[in-house]
Amino acid sequence: MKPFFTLLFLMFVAISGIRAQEKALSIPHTVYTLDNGLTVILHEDRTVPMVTVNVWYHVGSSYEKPKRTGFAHLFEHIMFEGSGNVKEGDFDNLLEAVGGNNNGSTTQDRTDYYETLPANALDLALFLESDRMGYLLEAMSPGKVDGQRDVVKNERRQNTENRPYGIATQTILENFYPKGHPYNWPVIGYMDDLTAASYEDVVEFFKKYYAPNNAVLVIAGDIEPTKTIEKVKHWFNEIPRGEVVTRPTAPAFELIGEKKLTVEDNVQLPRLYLAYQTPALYTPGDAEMDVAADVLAKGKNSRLYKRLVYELQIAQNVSAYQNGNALGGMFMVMATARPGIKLTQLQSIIDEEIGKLTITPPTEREVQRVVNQNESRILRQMESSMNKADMLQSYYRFAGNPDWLNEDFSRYKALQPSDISASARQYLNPKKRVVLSIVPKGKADLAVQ
Amino acid sequence: MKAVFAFFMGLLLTAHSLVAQKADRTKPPVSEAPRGLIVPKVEQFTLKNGVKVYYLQKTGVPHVSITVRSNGGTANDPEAKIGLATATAMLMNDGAGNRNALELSDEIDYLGIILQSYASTDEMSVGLFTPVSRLDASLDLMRDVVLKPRFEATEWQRRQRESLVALAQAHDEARVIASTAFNQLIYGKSHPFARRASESTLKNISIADIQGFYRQTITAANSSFLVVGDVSKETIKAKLEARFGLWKGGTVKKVTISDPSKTTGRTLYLVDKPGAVQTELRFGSAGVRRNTPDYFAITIMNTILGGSFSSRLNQNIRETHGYAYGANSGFSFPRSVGHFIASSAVQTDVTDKAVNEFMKELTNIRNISDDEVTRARNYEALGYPENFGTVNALAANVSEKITHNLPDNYFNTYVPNILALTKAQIERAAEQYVDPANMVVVMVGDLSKIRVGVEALNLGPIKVLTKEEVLGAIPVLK
Repeated sequence: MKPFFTLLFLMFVAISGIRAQEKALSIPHTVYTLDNGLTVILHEDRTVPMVTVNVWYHVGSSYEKPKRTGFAHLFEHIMFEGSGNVKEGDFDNLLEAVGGNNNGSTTQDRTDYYETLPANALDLALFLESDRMGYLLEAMSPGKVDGQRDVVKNERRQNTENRPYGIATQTILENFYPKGHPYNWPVIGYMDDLTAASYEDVVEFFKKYYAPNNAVLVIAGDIEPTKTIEKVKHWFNEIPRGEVVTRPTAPAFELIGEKKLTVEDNVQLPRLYLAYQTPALYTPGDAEMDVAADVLAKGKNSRLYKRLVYELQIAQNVSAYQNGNALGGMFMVMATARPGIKLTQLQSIIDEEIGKLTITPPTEREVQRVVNQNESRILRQMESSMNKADMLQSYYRFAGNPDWLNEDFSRYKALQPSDISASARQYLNPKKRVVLSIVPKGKADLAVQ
Repeated sequence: MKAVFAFFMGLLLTAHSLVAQKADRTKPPVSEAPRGLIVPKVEQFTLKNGVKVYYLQKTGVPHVSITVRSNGGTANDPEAKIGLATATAMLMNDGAGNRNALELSDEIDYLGIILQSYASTDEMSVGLFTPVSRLDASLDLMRDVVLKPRFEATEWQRRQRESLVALAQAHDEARVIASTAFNQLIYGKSHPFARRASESTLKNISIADIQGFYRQTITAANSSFLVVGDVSKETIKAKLEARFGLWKGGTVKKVTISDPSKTTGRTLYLVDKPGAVQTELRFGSAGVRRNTPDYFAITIMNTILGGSFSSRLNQNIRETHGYAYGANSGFSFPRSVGHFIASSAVQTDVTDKAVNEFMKELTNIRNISDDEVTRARNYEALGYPENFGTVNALAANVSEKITHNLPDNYFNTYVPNILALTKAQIERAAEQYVDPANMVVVMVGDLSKIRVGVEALNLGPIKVLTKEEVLGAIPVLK
């Protein structure tokens, strides 16, 4: 048996030079490309005898056809229903029988699949992943599509229709992005489109997007890289390359004016959402807006929390975040009003505080507070092979370099307070945004007018 | 014949040279021998003032988790002041030493650490998670939070309003209504696992009450430390001595939590949520103590019933019928006797059918196959090392070990204990701990659409509860 906790992967590599005390962050890894175009990234972490196998296909809801919203995610479900050499149910049965877990997720830009399992069973995960990448259609049937269609509709009911405020995301996306923009609909899709999805759609989608040249395989954990790449070749080399995938493009658009919407829901308290158009993930302005979000609404001393929740006590909660994606970003502020408070009142304070931030830079301490919290969060993520696999995937896909961790963090360290106010001025324009009020049934008067 | 044979051979060889050799997929690959894991022993030492420290080193990433745990929690709340322990924990986050609430929060955020107080049913805890580089400053703050909380009246007024609004918001959530009703029906409405704060109990709590609870509970005699992370024993010992060495006094606090009485008969409790597109379902009964010798058999039985993706409930409700996004089951193991629960959120128009399928699975679990036994045992045993990969996961496991006074070799005997289970033991656990004839069944959904169908199942008497009977009246808020 292996001794416990022997690993000391060199995560913090000292950099010589003027800032010798600073350490560069990195997730040491090796990148390979197979003949069929599959990108393979390996990272060794021997903390525990476990391994994470993670596959990203570069397809998400933004690649969907009209009238087929939700299809990328429905397809993700179908990927667990067996393939040419794995009968229905066995994907999970086999993995559980070796002590493994698995799951998947779909966003606007990518679909992710992973297995976390004991390192001695790595071959099984590679067999299963390669089998569904190569031979999914051999085992596909209209019945499988029907089965997962019902499951996905219930996933939507659980998270959208039956959840307080669950309709917010969809409402904002529809009104924020113009018709024809690939982010105009929710990842989960609409019920009618889920009903319409067919077996033929599955065949077409698989052939178009599920080829090795549109995928990246990351293996992180208790592995020996040179042996591991041979295993990968053994299982994946036989899968033929597919056609080059065309990435969706976003029509140039600018949110003009203030779009005010009101939705009544089964809730006790009204909630306000403000959505602004911001830069894409990892592009200039993304880190600035990320910090602006935390300066505004993270922690008791953040400006909006302090005003609305702590001092005035007119809000139950407030949050803000920058959501950067491949084709653009959205900055969101959300606040729930205390009983008897109208959303117009919350909005005017939010506007006042954002206005201040656009004029006067935040203090150095406010910015440093955010940077330090990001640093600690990275440390926490660095402990888990699953998180590291996900970071390598994200950097490879969206920054073009799996080794982008240090650059990512450096973006934050380099920020000056004036950068935050400049970006806030540029992007948080009260004349260009979506304003959504979700109010209790029959209480439209509480909405922003 | 030979010629034909030779011809085909030629084709195959050509094919091989053009296309990569294909992997043998006729059966799944056989795994190598498991690599195993030996978890080091949790060490113990005491500070000079007698406070016990549990310690486990984990290197790799330079951060540390430190928790101060004190006996006593929400179970100790007086009947008229339900919410007292939670209020105390909240207020410990709201100012300490020479820092008021905002200053304390600013310092915590600036250091990039997590420092938070919590109240559970039987324990108060203050948890710190910090990079090693900020350990000294973090521990200074932790000392203040534990030893010098300010308990300012204005902060309690804030928290009180926030808590009242949260009580109102719970009325929006079908899942909260379902789980609360379930706990009330299993344990009784005044039991610590079931009772809820209300407008009147919150308004009864004064700053003096909070200070009193703190003084009785967060004492040296009643507390211990749990340290997991990248710090040596000598270093952490010296740092804790320097900050907590003078902490003295108090007595060990008793926490008495009564065991739920055995669930008898089967009654269906319905709560109306007009317009709901799904029905929240809960099935269950009083359970068993954590230290039962049946613990491992129960674990594996539950894995087969509803504790994994391939479990019977999930396969039936989700994969075979598409009634829900998922279905699962589990046993709760507090220090006292806990409960068994199976749950799901199912589509409104198939509620009766889904309930029927649940009842089938809860009955059929007494007969399992060898295949299921092998898979479930392996699933729990072979994946076990994942519980020790991060500081947080380790701290949670060590904490469980301390809470339940598990044997020193517990982690290292877990795998053989699981793998040794027989089918007969697991079936016996099903028979003993999952009894569909004696169960509480809760459904929260649109009664105008589900009631007739549920009645037709003839599963037992039906009682309708209102949301207010479960959650209490919505607080009147100005």
